[in-house]
Amino acid sequence: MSRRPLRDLLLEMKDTSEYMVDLALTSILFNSREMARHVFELEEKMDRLMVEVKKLAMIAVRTEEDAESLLPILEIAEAAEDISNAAGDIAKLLKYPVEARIPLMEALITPEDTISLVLYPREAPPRTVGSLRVEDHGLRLLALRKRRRWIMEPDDEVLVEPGDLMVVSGPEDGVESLKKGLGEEG
Amino acid sequence: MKEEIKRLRELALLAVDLAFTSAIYNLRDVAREIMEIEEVVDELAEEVSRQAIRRAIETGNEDQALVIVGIANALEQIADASVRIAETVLSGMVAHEVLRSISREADEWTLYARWTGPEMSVDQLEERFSVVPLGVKRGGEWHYAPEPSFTLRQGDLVILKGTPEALDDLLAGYAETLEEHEGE
Repeated sequence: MSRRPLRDLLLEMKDTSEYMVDLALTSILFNSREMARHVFELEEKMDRLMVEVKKLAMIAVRTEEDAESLLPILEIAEAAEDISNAAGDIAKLLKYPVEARIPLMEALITPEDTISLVLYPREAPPRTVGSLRVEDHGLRLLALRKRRRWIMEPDDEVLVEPGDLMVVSGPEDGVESLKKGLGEEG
Repeated sequence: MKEEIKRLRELALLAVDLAFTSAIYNLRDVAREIMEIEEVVDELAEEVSRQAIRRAIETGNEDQALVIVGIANALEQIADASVRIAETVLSGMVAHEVLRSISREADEWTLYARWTGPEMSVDQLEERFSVVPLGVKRGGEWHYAPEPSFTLRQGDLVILKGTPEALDDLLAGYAETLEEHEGE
């Protein structure tokens, strides 16, 4: 019974920790305090998830065998939490003046950089995030920049409108094919 | 120093991906490799920090050094977390059943498979399938983060990263899954 939620929690912790590292590095690159703030929020969420995982594990253990099968799950969950703490430390670097961060920003820009910006075409009709199927291009949508606000990790139902800026991570070819797709449908 | 930071980031993130892969497929040889990657990360992190401090002494800009030392420490922490995962594999703890059961729902996943398709360069693979090879095992030896020009051949063992959908596309005719086993 308790196995099912535990695996869901582990999945969420793994996905969240990886997303946080992407987002933290991106916050440095774009000098974005909003992104950094979201990293801190997720750090707190990871703490809560870790407590949940521990509680469920304790409830699930009846025999030594149970304990042995749950140990690696706990270890992996804790490792994901370690990764999320590291992501938080990266986002905290935004507290230093921008001049002090420039060498790091330069080092984070790589030729095949995993982070790209895609402008949703002005002539295209608004569409939901889900219908864009960004993942079919091998990309992940990290954030959406609306006129006045950022939406981090936008849900499938969020509407993408002309002029919105999409922050995606993934290979450059994927970015190109996404742009092409948007242009053709626009 | 920029080059070292780039390398540091690449290696730390590679370590995480490989660590999860080693736990998903119970690959002891990959898990052992993570220990080595972590050592390189440690050395690089120290080197980068040292350079940053030296520069701060010359320029008097200590904030710049704090930023560089901060990123080096964070990336080192990420590599340490990878080791933590790899150690579960090396100590014989078994998590792969649970991990595999969540593979369909993850944002991104890694696939350990045998390449059965035609010869294909890393570049082509990324372009056609939107997956990134993290490692290729040929002749009993792992090559991690292969160059864009590296060409996959039939029989290579590969670790590929991508969305579950993209990995499925590869399994339809280009690669076949392997039962988890101890590294050959």
